[in-house]
Amino acid sequence: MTKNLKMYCKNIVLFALLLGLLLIPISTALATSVDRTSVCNLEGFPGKTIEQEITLEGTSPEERSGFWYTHYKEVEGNDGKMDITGWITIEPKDYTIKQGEIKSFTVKVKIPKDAGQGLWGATSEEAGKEGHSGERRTYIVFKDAITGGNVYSGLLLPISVKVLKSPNPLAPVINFVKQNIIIILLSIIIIVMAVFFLKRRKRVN
Amino acid sequence: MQKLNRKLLGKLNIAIALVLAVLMTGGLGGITYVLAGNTSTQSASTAQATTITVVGKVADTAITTITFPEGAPSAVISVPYNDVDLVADAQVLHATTSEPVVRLKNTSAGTLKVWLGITTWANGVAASEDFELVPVTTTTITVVDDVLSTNGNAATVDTTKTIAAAAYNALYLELVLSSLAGKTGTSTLTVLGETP
Repeated sequence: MTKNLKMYCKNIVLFALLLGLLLIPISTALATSVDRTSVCNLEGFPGKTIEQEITLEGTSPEERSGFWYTHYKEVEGNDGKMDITGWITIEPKDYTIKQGEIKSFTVKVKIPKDAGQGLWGATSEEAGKEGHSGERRTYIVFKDAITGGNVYSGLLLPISVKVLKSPNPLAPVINFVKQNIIIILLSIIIIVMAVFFLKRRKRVN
Repeated sequence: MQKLNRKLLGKLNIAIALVLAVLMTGGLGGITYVLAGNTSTQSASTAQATTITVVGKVADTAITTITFPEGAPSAVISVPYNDVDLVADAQVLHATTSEPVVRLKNTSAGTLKVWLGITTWANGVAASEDFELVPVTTTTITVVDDVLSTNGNAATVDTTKTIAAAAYNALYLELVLSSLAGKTGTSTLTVLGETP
């Protein structure tokens, strides 16, 4: 009887231990994910604004609070085309994110009217690729911390813009002609034929 | 009668030309080209890009704060601790058994280069701050002298160190207090990742 009781007690203790292990919260430290690692080679004309959507996904069990900002990496010998932090705004700037939540942000790049043609914000068009960190100069950055904390983590996303030559004012007309070349040619043929027949008719008359 | 016939024929020619032109335009525009179908579906996906997480010395639990204990003015504080391991398990500088204040875990799918940053220490409490970032297997850290901030003001530093996917690095911190007495100040530490 005592032996049975001991056995029973042992089983209960084992069961309680196993149950305890199951109930211990397993905290896997995760943070915030982003849907791209670079925003390079955006294209736009002087005086225009480029918009780019970026999403963040919360993967941390705790709510995190953070914000977006820009960063310029100063390197000796940089020319005036490398710092484009003044062109960039990110909306909304501040955020809080919970696990499983996806939040969208708009990166707006306002190209000044007097911006010269060429690549701005990086020294090469390859800057967004892995192995080319030395070619990056301007970044957008997001960082967040567990709400109330003083330790932030985030990612640096390189950004660059290809400023294009101002468009030709006749470009829409040229595009229309290119897109409707067959109709235009046939119309010309019809007009020529009509003129020819009218002339012939006059001659016959 | 002959004149009438000529007139009618002339008009008929124009009409025929117009009809032909319309038919040609319509025909060319409306042709549906049927190509031989021999396609197969391709699919590809990219893994998530996730921030580096700052976790405890042993447990994989995200930490919230790092605290430097009180010291005399101008003292070097090399025993900071985090809110997971607490003051009893603070950073240790030792020739064979050193322990970091926190570990950095790369939860991203690819290697990340680490940047560190701080905001200006409030109340001028800090004179400077240094760091050491090493693989977790390195336990021989006795000196922390990579500069994070030379004057306690805001700074961002490219450590040039990388952490492979799912790997950890050990972060050691050291603070030199300013000569001001009876002051308490705060600052934030930022750990940023960049695709190398």
